[in-house]
Amino acid sequence: MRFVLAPSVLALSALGLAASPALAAQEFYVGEPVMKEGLQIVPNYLTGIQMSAHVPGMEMGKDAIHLEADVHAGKDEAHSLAEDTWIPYLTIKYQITKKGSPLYHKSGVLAAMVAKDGLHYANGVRMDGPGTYRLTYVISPPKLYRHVDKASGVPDWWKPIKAAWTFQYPSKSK
Amino acid sequence: MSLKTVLALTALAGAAIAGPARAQAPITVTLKDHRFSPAEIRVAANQPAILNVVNDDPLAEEFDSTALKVEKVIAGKQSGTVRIHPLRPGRYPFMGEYHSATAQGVVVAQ
Repeated sequence: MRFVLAPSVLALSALGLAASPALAAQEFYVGEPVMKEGLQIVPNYLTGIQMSAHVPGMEMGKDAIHLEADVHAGKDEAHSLAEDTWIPYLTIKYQITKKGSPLYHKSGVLAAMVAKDGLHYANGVRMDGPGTYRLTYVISPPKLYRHVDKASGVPDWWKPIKAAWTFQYPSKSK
Repeated sequence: MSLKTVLALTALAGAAIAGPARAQAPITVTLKDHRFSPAEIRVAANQPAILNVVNDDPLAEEFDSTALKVEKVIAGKQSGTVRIHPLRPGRYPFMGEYHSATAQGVVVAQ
């Protein structure tokens, strides 16, 4: 939940002078959670986000979304991570394509960041107008050292996880 | 009073005084048509609580609360456990962020 609504904007809204009615940060559904390797992977996007500082290459502005991945431990995560623990030090590559727009293709890496709704991975991605999009995440294991002795060791990391969703943009939910 | 009864009473008294704080039973909250029921959840202040959130809608919802510092995504037609840390008395709003126009609720700690 991220509200970014300055008093001056409220005042403008009250006067009916605001250029855009949707300035507050809002989060939108992209697809169902995917459970893989004991992790819950959730895609979503937000609008109205401002950042400090910008991730290098981060696309911002009216036609860009704040693309997120929420990755938390599930019930029986094998590395002793309690349910709902945020997974740090992941490398998450994203790819977005649009149905019927062969020239539109976006790819990059999500960056770890923090907001009022917790730690997450995200980046800014310019969209190609309304339509049907395909999002793919490829998640590489956390860059974390591991104990391997008999008493305190945890298993080796998994192979990179791939998860994909088809979604409508802009989202019709709310 | 038999010795057995005395022992049992002593054990009970001991548990009441020195025993660990009793966890509150999980509270079930159901989400249907993007509305929480109950929308107002009462918990005991200064004690942990557990919500069993049943998502009766076909698509995922994000149980989100800045006040509770909780964010938990529950897939469509699934349920999820939301753990609430001990709260000072007060009102703690939460929402289903994908449908925040209607999916609103509050945890009341008292």
